[in-house]
Amino acid sequence: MSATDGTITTARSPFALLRDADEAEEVLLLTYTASLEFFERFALGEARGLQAATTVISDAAMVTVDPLTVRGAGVRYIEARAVCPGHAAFHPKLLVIVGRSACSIAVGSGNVTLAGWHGNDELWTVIRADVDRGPRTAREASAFLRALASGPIQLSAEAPEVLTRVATLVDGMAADDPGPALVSTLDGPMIQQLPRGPVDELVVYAPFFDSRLAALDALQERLAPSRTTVFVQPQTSVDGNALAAWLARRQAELKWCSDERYRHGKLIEWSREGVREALTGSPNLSGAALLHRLGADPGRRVNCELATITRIPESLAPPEAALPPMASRAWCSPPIRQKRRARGPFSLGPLWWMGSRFICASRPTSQAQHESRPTTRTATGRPFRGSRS
Amino acid sequence: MAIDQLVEGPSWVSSGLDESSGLYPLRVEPAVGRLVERLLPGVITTTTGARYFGLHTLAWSDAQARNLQDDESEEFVRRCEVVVAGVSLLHGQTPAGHDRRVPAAHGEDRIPRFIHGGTLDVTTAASPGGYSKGGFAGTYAAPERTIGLLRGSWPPRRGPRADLAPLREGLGDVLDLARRPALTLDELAQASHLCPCAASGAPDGAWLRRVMFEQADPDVEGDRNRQITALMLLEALDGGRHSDPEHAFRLSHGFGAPIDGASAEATARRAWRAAILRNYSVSAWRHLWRWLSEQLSGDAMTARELADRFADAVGGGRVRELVADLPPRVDASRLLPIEEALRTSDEDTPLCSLRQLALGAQRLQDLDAETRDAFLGRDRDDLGPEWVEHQLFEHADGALADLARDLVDTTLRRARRVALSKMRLSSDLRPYVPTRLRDRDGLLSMVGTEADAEVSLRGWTLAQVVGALGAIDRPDDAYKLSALGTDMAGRLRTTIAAAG
Repeated sequence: MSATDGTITTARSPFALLRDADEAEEVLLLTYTASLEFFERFALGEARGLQAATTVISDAAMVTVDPLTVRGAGVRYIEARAVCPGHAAFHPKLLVIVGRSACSIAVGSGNVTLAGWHGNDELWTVIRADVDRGPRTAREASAFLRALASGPIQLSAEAPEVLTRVATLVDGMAADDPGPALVSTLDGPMIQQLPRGPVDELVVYAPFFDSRLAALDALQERLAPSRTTVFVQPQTSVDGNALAAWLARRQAELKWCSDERYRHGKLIEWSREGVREALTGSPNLSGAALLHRLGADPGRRVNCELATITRIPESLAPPEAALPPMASRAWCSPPIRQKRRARGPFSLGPLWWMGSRFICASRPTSQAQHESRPTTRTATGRPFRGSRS
Repeated sequence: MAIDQLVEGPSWVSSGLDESSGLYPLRVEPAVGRLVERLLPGVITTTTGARYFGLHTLAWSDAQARNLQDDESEEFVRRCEVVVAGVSLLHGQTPAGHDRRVPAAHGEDRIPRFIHGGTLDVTTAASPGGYSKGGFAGTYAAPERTIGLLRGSWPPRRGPRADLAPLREGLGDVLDLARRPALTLDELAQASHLCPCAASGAPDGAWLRRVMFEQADPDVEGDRNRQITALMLLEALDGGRHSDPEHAFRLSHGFGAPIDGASAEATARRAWRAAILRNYSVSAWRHLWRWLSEQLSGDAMTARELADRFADAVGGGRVRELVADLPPRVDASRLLPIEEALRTSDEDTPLCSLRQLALGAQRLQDLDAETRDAFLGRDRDDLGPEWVEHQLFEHADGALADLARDLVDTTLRRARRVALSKMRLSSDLRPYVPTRLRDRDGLLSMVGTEADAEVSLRGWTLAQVVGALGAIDRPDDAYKLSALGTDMAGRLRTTIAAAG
C-alpha cells in the first residue's frame, strides 16, 4: 500500500473538472446509477467541447433513459453497460479525462446523476498527471481499466476497447511521485488492503450498511481500534436495532450528521500514532463491497468497487449534528430497502454485424422476450409516433 | 503548463442545488393554454377589472403626452390606480352601494391604511409597497398591447386603437385627482362616476365594448376570436341564471351537435370545443399527479413502491372493463357531457382520473378532423389523448393495476424531463432545479404536494369584464344576461355573420 504524504487540497466535482479541462482525447465515466438525460443535458457538451471521444459505462440495471430526450447515446458518445457476476452491483465512480500530454482522474462516490454530481455530499479524490510528473496512482488506474476490460464482468461490446485505449493513454503519463493507493475488488477483498491493527481510532460513514453488519464486524477485527465512531444520517439505510446492539457490544460511539443534504460519500478512516488515513470511493459498509474478491467465487455476490487509500492531514468525519427527533430517525426501522430487484436479461446495447443490428443481452433471452409487441398502431389502426411507457 | 497539485482530496464535494417547487410539473397545460390564448387574446385570469383597460390607456397616454420620465410615468399610473381604489372603497360604503356587482378595485383592501383624519394620502399609497408592491399596470400591459390600446415595451405608449376622447370624457377626472398629494373622503365620494362599477354607462365603457368586442379588426384573427368568444359566453348565459359562467360555457360549447361550416366562427367554435374537452384530460393528469405527490410527501419510496400504491388504488379490474364501463359519449347527433358528470363525481381520484383519461382517448373517435387536430395539440409525445389511446390498446387485455404501474413510470419520467428542461446552471455551477420531486438513490420524495387547480379557460374573467360593461347582470351572485347583453349578442351575431 502506498499513500500520499503531500498536502491535500479540496477536490472539485466531476462537472467542474470537465469544465476546467483544456484538451482530451478520451473522457471515460464509470458509474453505478446513470441518468443519461442529465448527462446529455449538462455533461456531454463539456466533454464533446474537448473534442474527446466520450464513454459512459454504468450498471446495466441502473440506467435511466428517457427516449424522448436521450438522443446522443451510441451516436455522440458510447453508452456502455456492465453486468457483474451474480447480479452484484457495478459500483465504481470514476472519471478519466485524458489526452496525449495530461490527464485528470477522479475517484469518488458520486454517480452520473443530478444528485451525484450536484445535490449530494460526495467524497472525491482527484489525481493529475502529465508526461513529466504524476503520482503512481495513475499507473494503478490504468491497471484497473485493463483488468476491467478482461475480467469477469460482462460489458457492452465496445467497452473493452475503450477501456484499453484509455489505459494506454494514461500509461503515457509520468507516474513516479507518491499518491493515493487505488484499490478495487478486482484486485482482492477491500478489507485485506487495509492495514492490520491495532489502530487508535476508527471513523466510518456510509449511506448503506449490510443487514448483518458483517462489514462493520470485519473492519473492527482487521483494524482493532481503541475507539470507534459510526456516523449516521436520518436517511442512512441500516437496520437500526442491529446497529444499536452492535455499538453496545463493541463499545463504539454513534454520531449523527446533519440531514440538510444527503451525504452519499463513503468513509473508512483510521489513525495510528498521529498518522491518519482514509479509504474513500465507492464501497459502502457492506459485505458485498468490502469482504470479497470479485470473480473468486462465482456463487458469491461481490460488487465491483473502486476506492483510494490516502494519508489525510485531518479527519474527514462529517460535521456532527444534534440528535434528530424520533420522527426523522427512520433508520431505526428495518428492513433495508431492496432496490436491485431486476434480474435481467439486461440490454448491453446494439451491435452491428454483417449489415444487421443486434441487441446484445447479458444472458440468453426466452422466445417470448425475443418477440416484439405491436407498439406502432393504436386501437383504431392509426400510427402512433409517441413513446411507449 | 506544469501541474501545481498532483492530488486533490479526498474531500467532501457538493455544489448543492437551488430547488424550488416549480410550476406545471408535467407540462400538460400548454395543450389547453395555447388554444385559449388563440381564442381569447387580451383577457388573462388576472385582468378582472374592465375599467382598468381604459384607465391605463388614458394614464399612460397622458404621461407620454407630458413627456414624463419613466419613473414619473409609473408613479403617475399608480396614483391613478390609487384614486380609483379610493373611489371604489367610498362608493361601496354608501347606502346604495355599487351600481353593479363587479370585482373589487385592485388594492382596495389596502387603501384604509393610508386614510388618516378623513384624507387619503395618495402620494404614500402610490409609492412602491404602498397599496401594492408595484401597481397593477404591469399585469394589464400585455393584454392591453394585444388589443392595441398600448404599444412599446416599458413604459408603454399610446396604442393604435386608443381613442382618447371617450376616455377623457369618462375617466378624465382621474387624471386631475391623481396629481393631488391627498384627497379628502368627500372628494372621493363625489367622484363615484369613476368607480369600476360605473363603466357600463360611461363613455369609456361604451368605447371598451366597441374596441374589445364589437368592432373587431377583420384582418386580425385574435380580434375576431375575442368577438366570437364573447358571443359564445353571452349565448351560454342566455335563458336563465347561472352560478358559474365557466361551467355554463363548458356545457354550452364543449358538447352538443357537430359544428359545421368553414367560417372563422365555426373554426373558433370547434377550437373551443377542443379546448374544453382537452381540459378534462389535462385536469385528470393534474389530479393524478397531485395524488402521487401526496403519497410521496408522506413517505419516501421507490418508483416501484409508488407504482404498487397506485395499482392498489385502482383495484382489480381489467383495462377492457374500464373502457367498456364508460357511459355513452354520444347520442344520435350530439356529444354528451359525460366528462362534466365525471368531473363532479365523488369517486376517488386515481380511478376517476383514469376514467377521465380513457374518456379523453375515446373522444378521438367522436371528433371531426379539425376539432380532433386542435384537441390533440402540438405536442403529441406522451400523456396526450392519442398516447392514452395507445396505452389502452396495449393494455387492453391486461390488469388495470399494470396500466397504473406504467403510468407512474411515465409520469415520473415526464416530471424529471420537465424539471431538467427548466434546469439551469448559475455562474458557480450550482444548478437551479424547479421541481418538488426529490430522488435520493432511487428513493423518491416530494417537498409538499402539487397543486391541481384546473387550467382556466378564462371564462370567469371574461364574464367579469363583459359584466362590468353591462352585458351581464349579477342577481344574488348569479350570472344572467342583461338587456344590454341581449342587444350586444345580437350585434355580435350580425357582425360575425357578415364577416363570414
